[in-house]
Amino acid sequence: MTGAARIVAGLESAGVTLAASVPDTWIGRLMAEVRRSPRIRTVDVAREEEAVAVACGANLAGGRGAVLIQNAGLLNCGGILGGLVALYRLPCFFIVSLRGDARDPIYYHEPKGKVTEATLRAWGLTYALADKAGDLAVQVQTGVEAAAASRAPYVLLISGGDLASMRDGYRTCRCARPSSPCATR
Amino acid sequence: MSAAIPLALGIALTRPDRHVVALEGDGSLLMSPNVLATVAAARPANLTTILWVNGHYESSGGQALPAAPVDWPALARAAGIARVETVTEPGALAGALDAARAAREPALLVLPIAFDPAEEIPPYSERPEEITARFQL
Repeated sequence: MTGAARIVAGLESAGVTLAASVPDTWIGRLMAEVRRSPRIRTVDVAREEEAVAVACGANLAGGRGAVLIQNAGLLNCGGILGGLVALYRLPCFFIVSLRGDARDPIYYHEPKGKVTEATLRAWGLTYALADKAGDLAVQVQTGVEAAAASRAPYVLLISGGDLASMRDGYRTCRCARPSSPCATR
Repeated sequence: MSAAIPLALGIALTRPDRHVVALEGDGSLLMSPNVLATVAAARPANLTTILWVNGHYESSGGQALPAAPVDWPALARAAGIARVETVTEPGALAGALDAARAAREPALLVLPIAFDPAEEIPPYSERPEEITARFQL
């Protein structure tokens, strides 16, 4: 089973009913797996702030929403996190592709990678780095439940390699080139 | 700002048994008109948006919007929302809303309204947690 399939299994087990997304390469690969789920309604939005509001709307209406976006999009979301999610104490579970860290072979993501975790800490958001060596489904369930229990955001940061199969490790990551960290891990 | 329509969209998709009405202002929608395309793509049969158009950020103090003659019905149609109606008389609103609810497709009602700079905007009287509790379905 691929990491993407494990993540979707975690979303299903946690009772997520709706996934709102602006995709990048990695999130797009994950969303392709989400779309196969008969239990999760996918919503393609035009900007990441919309994804947050759509997911919160699902939560208010008795469902469970999730936001699947890139870290660049997360950085767009400061306003709505303050003006909607924090103000009204709404649970909001995020899966965010952590572009620009050491595992990302694409150089132009690097500035976003440098500030993502620092921004999450500055905003006071609970977050975790996905650990592919562990059970990704459990990590997703933990995040969804933590968001619900705290009535606050929870951000699970993933890398492209987390979506591949355990057996293949990072070598199946399509973004890899021969010299990239994805190809050599 | 800009959260009303996508919030309503999430509610509408989760509760197809209820008709959801989003109340939005032109200043708020001008910040993220992209949501019109999002709604058109999702095609909820149970979502109507009422758009108040007065050219001002009224709830935040009455500042003027950029002085552009935005054609909201044309913008909505261009984004893919076919059911758009401009309502210019208060007496026509109930009928327009009934027709929108019956249409089984996303609808936008555009309501040009007056801006009175002397009108006092009352402060919010409810606490956020009270609003959340009251709003929850």
